[in-house]
Amino acid sequence: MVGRLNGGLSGLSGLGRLNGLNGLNGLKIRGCIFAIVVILVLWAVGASLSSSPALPSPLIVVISFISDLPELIPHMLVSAYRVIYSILLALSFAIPIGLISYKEKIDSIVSPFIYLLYPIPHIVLLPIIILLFGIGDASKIFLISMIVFFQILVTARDAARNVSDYYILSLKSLGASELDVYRHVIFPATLPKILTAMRISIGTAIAVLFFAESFATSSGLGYFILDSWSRADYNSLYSGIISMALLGFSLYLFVEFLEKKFCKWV
Amino acid sequence: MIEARKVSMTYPDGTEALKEVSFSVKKGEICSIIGPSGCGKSTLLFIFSGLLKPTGGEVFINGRPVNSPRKDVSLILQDYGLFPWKNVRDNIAVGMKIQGFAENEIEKAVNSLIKKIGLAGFERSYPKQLSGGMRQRVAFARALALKPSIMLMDEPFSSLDALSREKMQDFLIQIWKETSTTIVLVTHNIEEAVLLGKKIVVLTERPGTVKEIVKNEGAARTEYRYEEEYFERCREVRKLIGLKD
Repeated sequence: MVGRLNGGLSGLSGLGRLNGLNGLNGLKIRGCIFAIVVILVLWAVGASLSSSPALPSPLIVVISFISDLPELIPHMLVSAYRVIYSILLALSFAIPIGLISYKEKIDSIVSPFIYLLYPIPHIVLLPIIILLFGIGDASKIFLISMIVFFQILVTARDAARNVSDYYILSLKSLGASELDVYRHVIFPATLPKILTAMRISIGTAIAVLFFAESFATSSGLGYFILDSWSRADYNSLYSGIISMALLGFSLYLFVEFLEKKFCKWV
Repeated sequence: MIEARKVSMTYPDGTEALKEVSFSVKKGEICSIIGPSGCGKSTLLFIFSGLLKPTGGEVFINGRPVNSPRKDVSLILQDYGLFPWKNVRDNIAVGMKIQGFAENEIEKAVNSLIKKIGLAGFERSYPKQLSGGMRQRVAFARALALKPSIMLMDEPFSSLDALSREKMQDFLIQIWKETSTTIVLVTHNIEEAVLLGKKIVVLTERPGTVKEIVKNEGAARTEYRYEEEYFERCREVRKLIGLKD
């Protein structure tokens, strides 16, 4: 009885740690508010010191952002469509190829390709991609997804290679098929690493998006920013920058939500 | 019934782990395998489970040669073999899921097993939140969920402290009495081998061969720990392994 009580108590403290996440969230929110305030204050001070139209005060930017919204929303949607489509496309190729590389034989075929193709700065292929895919969405999506694909593939492959045989044997002893091994071991074991890679690649994807939208198009936030710049409309320029930041931020939050939901065990 | 006939195993790197090991375990018997570390005990269990193919000889279960993992054989690996990314409930259910049981059937079996191992309230906990003894019980529950006729265990209690170890040994005896499953247990602990094994297979150093098979009919009772015969057997096994008394 005493043993059971002890076991129960130690287990409870374990649960307490999990519940502690709520407390952590509270801390996080307070930390975020603090960071926002500091950034805004620094920005406002910088704006009033420089008194250049290229650095308007945060208040002016917020007002112009709100008044620009009707015009901004279509551009936001186009950019969001391009970047989300690209990331999903990249994931749908990178994850399967990365995961099957847990097998020595497949890895010996896959990894030479990674070694040769990954170090190329893929962004320089833009002219060729435009020649091949035209100036529409296809070329932009192809460029972004190609870059993100390699980032996720390299991570997924490394994570799959590091899954211990011990877990695979443990599952196989239960009569598991090859598919079961992916479902119950390889995929869940590599998921935390894949989500981390996704977080990093969101930043990359949006940077590439800006580059891809910077010419031969009349839609998307990249176009909006450059167009405002060329018209010397600095307030709109900032509206565009903030929209792009918000796009990245919301994607980032979404991945964090996935981590909380599916990687509780880490 | 499990029958090993002249089982030999040489790994691709040339390591000779087992050499012509032959013995049999009757249906419903508990058999412990003991030997110095590195004598191929774990290799032998992997061969029994069908995960590893011997380079010589054969293993038969109920008269049929073992070539791949069998549904009626459960293997409990050293350090429990639980998946850190699955909670208690899902760790117990995974074997049944793989073998295609219906969802409501799994639900029922898992709930009753969780109660049986005394972990009610911990269904959603992850292995790292549990103590060693609790993890061990989850591993038992996962094996039992498949209602195996044979359970193979690799050093099941080696990472537990002495107190939890005795409790788990008693728990194993209780399970064995209730289910009359055939159990083959690898251990490097002499007292454990004697307490649990009605038959004790003593292996030599690498390459492992059968040095002696000790009959130990009084085993698999918790009271056995206090009986003269138990101490006698421990001395006997200790001598066979080559340790001084």
